[in-house]
Amino acid sequence: MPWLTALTVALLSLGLYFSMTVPDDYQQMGTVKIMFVHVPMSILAMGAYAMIAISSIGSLVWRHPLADVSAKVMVPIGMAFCFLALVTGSIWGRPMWGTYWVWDARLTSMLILLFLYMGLFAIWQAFEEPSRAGRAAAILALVGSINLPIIKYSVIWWNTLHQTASVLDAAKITKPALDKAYLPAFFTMLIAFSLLLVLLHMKAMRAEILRRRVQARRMRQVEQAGSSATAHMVTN
Amino acid sequence: MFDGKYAGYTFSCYAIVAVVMVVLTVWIVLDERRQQKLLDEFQAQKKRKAEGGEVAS
Repeated sequence: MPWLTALTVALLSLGLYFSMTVPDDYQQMGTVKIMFVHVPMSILAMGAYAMIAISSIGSLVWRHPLADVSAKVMVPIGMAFCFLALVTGSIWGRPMWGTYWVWDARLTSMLILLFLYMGLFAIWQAFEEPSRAGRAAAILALVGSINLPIIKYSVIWWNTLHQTASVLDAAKITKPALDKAYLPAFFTMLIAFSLLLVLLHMKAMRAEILRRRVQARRMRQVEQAGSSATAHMVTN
Repeated sequence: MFDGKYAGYTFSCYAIVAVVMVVLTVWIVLDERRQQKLLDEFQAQKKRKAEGGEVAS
């Protein structure tokens, strides 16, 4: 993990440098730089949810113990990325569209994604027993995963204010609609934030595994205290 | 760096992202350290009990 941390910090620094030194867009001027945080946040918010959905399948079908842990710890991380995607997009929208918010398909479906994250977070907090919480959260996560293709194709299926994909699209991957001056900054920031997501996920998983071990020890202590008290009562 | 007519919007976005990412990272790191500390305390307790049991016998 130290090498991953170092690589993440290095790429974030390089990405920031690239972001700050790109030329302004002729229409968007300096606000084009918001793309280098907004787009990675959006992509990773969806990626994190996909990870939760895959972990949920592992938890429900194969009952893998780490699948539960992975799904649980990804929720606050994905929620943070989703929140940032909405906030940065909203701030970008003010100078570009003249408004902070419109109820178009892309923005609305991303907001629904944030509500799904909040729902998952609430479920994990509501149940005391992790296995029960895990089952309920896994079902919600899988049902909610239908939102991911809706977000992706919303700009194609409906008339939206939000633009279509400029780079990460089958038709545009070899010939991006983005000027090549912006590609290094875009991809560096995307990779840097992806590594940050992986790093945070791994750290959070470790913390959750430790938490469950602490809880198991506490329960064992309580049981031992209870059985020795019973034995004491019986002998007396 | 942040200049031009809409510099405030660009700066706000980067500032919010930086703050949230730092808070998230610190929260996760502190949580991991807290859990490790609790587990270490349990290990130490167990070791003390085992040593106490040996001395008594």
